[in-house]
Parts: sequence; C-alpha cells; structure tokens
Amino acid sequence: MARPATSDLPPPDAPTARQIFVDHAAFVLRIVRRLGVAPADVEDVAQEVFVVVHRRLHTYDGSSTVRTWLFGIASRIVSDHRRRAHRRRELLTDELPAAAVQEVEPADAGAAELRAQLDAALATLDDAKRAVFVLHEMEEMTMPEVAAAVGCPVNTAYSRLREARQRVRAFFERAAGEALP
Amino acid sequence: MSDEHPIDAEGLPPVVRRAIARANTEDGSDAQVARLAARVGPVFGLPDPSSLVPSGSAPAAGAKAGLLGGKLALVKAAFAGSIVAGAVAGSAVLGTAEEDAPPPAANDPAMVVVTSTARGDPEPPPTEPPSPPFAETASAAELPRDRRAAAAPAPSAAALSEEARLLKRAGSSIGADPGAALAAIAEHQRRFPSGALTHEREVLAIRALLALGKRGEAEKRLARFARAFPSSPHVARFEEALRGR
Repeated sequence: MARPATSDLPPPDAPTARQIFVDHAAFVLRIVRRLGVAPADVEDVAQEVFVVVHRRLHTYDGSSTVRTWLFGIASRIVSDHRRRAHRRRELLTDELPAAAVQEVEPADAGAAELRAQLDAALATLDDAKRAVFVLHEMEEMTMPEVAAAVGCPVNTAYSRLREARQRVRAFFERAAGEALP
Repeated sequence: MSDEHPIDAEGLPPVVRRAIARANTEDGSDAQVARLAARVGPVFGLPDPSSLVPSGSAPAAGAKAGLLGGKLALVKAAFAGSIVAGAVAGSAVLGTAEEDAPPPAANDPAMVVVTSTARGDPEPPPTEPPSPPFAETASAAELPRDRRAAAAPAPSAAALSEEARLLKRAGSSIGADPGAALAAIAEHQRRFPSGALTHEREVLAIRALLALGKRGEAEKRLARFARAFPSSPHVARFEEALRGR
C-alpha cells in the first residue's frame, strides 16, 4: 500500500496525548516548579503546558525525546508566566509571606528549609544555567539530552552546569557559614 | 549520566543532594498529578480511566521511577473528578451552559478547554464545628489557603474518588435543584475540609448560591475563595457575573 505522500502525518510510533500525560505529567509539574514558578501557580502553568501539548501534538516529529519537546514548551510558558507573575506580585506583596509560611510543615521544618534554600539558590541562576542544572542534577537527564533540550552544544551545556554547580554550592555555603565538602 | 564527564567528579555537596531529594519527594506528587488530570482529562479524551495504560516508554528517568502504579490509581480517581470538572466548567467543556454560570473566557485557550482548577491540599481548617450550617461556613470560616501542594501528603485514591463522587452529585443537581447541590457541597466540606478538590467545591458552591439568588452569600463566599485561590480564573468570572446582576 502506498504511503500517503505527506509530511503532516505523525510518525507511526508517535505518542498519544494521553500517553504523554500519563508518562510525563509529573515531569512537567516538576519542571514548571523548578524553573521558577511559585508553588501556588504550578498546576495552573502545567495545565497551560498540556493545553499547548494538545494543540501542538501534531508537530511532534519524533526527532527529539518527548521530554525534550515538553521542556521546550514548558520553558516558554514558564517564561511568559514569570513575566506576568512579576507584574502581579507588585500588587500582591502583602499576600506572599502568609502563603510562604504555610508551605512549611513544622514537623519537617529542616527539610522544608533545605528545599527553600534550593529554590533560592536556583533563583540566583540565569535561565540558561538554571535549565541545565535542573535537567541534569534534578531530572537526571544525560548531558546530550540536556543540550538538545536547551538547544546548545554539549560542551556549552557542560560549561553551564559547572557554573551552576559552583553558584549553588556557594549559596549553600553562605547559608551554612562554612565551606561544604 | 553522572559518570560520563570529568566535571561530574566535582559533584555537589551532600546538603544540596538532600535538598534535591526533598524536592523530588514534593514536586510532581501523585496528588498534583491527580489534580492536573482532573483539569486536563476532558481535553485529552480520557473518559475511561481504564484506558490510561502506561506506554512502553519509561517514565521520567530516576526521580519518579516506580511511582507510576500509584499515580495511575490517583489519575483514575481524578478522572472521576473530571466529570466534576465538566460540571463546573459548564459550557466550556460539555457545551451545556447553565444560566447561572459565569461566562467562559472564550479567548483564553486554557479557559476554553478546562475550567476545573483543582488545586490546593489546603491547610487544615480553623476550629470549625463538625457540622455547621452551610451559610455559616460560607461566611465565617476562612478557606484553607491554596497551594501547599509541595508539602502536602497525597490523598488516597479512595478519598479522592469519594470527593469526586460528592462533587459530581453537586454538579449534576446544580441546575435543577441548587439546594440539593448545596447539601452535597456541605457534606464534602464536612468530610473533606482540606480535600484535594476544595477549589472545585467552592466553585460549585458559589454557582449554587447564585442559582438560589443568594447574592450576598455568594459574594462572601467568593471573597473567601479569592483569598484562598487568588490566581483562579474563576475569581474574575464570578466577579463579572456578580457585577452584571
């Protein structure tokens, strides 16, 4: 049977929207959070990501991994959201401390504090370094996959990773008041 | 991965690794996935939860491997909740606009597709009586504040399923019998004061109050809702609906 002569058809093994959701919903939620979206807004932004996924699924050609493709969508939406959130925050500054306080479980304050430090350390990174750090150190992606996701050469990704690690380490050392092993 | 390049010898301090481990237990939790599933489920054509079979591809490497089984159970429960989402969304998802529903924001793709915005894992409630009258709880008690999802324990699939069942009952009766809807909502509030579907419950409650013509109570409930879920798209829509009356 002749194959339809069109490039618009998805590849034969293209994932369905539902497969993408089941396999990668947690990934999207994590990425959204770690790229700098406030916990309060993570699910809203993740929802936006999946709305776009649904709309753009036909453009996924299988040339990259699904996670790489999702990261591209998520990072753009997060970037837009952060710009909007920055504007909103100027009007809502009195709301933020209460929300932040309630995120800390007293019984687990130590771990929560560590998490808060990690968030603060990530916030000191520029977007490019932050993405590499998050994808490699937190998502355990291989560096070639990281490079593909952020759209840079592998060596550049390594360079960003090195700098990001140094900054994160320095942040935690300042918080601890001593050099860390 | 970590042993592929000399840079990895530099590593990260153990304290940073612990922080990352903590983050891995919080972000993308089963409860978050379930709530997200409730929101996007109708769009993704998932009316039958049993159709949610994981594909052959591996889930995200490392951090969340091994959680898929539990996650699927919650996703299934959440898709029961997606019926609630449809009820809440009214015209946006199911094409059954009800007269008391605020108008959907048609030019916002996220709003068009899904308007059920489960979120939360809110705080335990303040000291409320165990079974207060609905109107009292609507005006007196502060809603558990939104989003603590990162630190919240995941609800069991059974609990989430029961929450969804109650709210489905409320959603399905809101048009014909908003009083019955309020009863189901009150039952949800009593049994799940900090439930995963608190956001949905409040949306339904405000709609039911509007349907009953209880504008004052609806305004109070909306004020409380807006404090707990300040970024909910429903806030502006309800405000607009109330202004228009």
